[in-house]
Amino acid sequence: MVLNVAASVAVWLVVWYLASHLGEMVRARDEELASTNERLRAAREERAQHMLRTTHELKAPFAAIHANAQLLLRGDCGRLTEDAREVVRRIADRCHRLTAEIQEMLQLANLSSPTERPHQWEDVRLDEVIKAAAARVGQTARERNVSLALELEPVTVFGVEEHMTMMFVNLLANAVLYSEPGGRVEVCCAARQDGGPVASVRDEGIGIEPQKVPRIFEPYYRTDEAARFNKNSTGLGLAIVRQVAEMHRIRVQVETAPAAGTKFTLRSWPESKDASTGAHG
Amino acid sequence: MAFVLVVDDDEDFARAAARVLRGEGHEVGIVLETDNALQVMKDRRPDLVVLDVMFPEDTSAGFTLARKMRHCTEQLKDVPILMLTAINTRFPLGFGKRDIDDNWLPVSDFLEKPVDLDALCSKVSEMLAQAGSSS
Repeated sequence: MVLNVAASVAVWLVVWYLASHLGEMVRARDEELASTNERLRAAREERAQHMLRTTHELKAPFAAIHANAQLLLRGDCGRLTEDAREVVRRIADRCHRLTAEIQEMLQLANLSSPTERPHQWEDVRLDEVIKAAAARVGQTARERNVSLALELEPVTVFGVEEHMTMMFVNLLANAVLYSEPGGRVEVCCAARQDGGPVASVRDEGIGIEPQKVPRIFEPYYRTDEAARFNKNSTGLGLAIVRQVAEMHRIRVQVETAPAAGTKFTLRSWPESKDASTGAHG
Repeated sequence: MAFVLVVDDDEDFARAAARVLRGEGHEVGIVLETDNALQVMKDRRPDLVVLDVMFPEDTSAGFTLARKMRHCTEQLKDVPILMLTAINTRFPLGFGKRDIDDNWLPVSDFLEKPVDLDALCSKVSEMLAQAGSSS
């Protein structure tokens, strides 16, 4: 009997010791994790600030070169010969392209970085986002004689509007830029009752060889065919699309074939908070 | 004709902007630092300020100057401010109209660098006309 009591006490002591010790270990581990998280957050913030500064330092000189090239082109400094105008125009164009590239690098780098204003998650009208993106690439489409056909149902999803707009601007710009003159780009969004909202962008352009598809979302990757077809491409557009899709957990499917065009289908959209897939007001 | 003040640390850009605005018939002053910009404006009130965001010692000096103009000086609180910037420090994906508010970004309008000089001229004219009609 005495032995039993002693054994029970011993067992309880061991359990108590282990429990209290485990508690301490967990607490120590929690503190260590919190400290590591804080260091990571600070490092990310520092990286974002550094990126911001670097981008400004890169963009600002191009802005100055571009402004001065425009002065020459406008004739503010006297009349130029046609040859000289052509050279200055090339300088101005190159400045503009480099600035766009820097901007895309910045967008990509900062999509998931901390900012002073947290990303604003809210109900977003997908059809309105697509309309806005189409308006932004409309001029390029007209210049390239590519028609944009929109078939948009009112669909509300949950996400960051600026990011979604950026994603569709990149998808639509790609579709337009890799279409032959006279081509057609179809953009749809719909609220499917079974599988949730779906959006797609389809072109009849140069397409992609199947073995190259797995790499098209890598930053700076361009197929040889794409680089030949569009010399101004930065290779960052689809990397931005992937980043936004991952942040929103959207599934992107690619169907493509050389010379037959490409279709991007986006599924598994975050649903609106009120679970309505219809229009809001 | 109006008096336009360009506040930008990039002298090459500021001179190009000034040149094109002078060509439109405006009188243009250039200030390369924000430290003395407020005093320059108090000495002679500009009709419009073209203001950069990032300066060498302070990445958001342009925002600070805009807030000082709006909130600390009766003389300058209504001067239209056209902000020119290469980046947006708060939300680095580009500016949108929603960035403009009285406390965070109290400017009248903005243009992103690299600026199309024709767009700069028409924006300045538009803002001056608006200021003229509202005063």
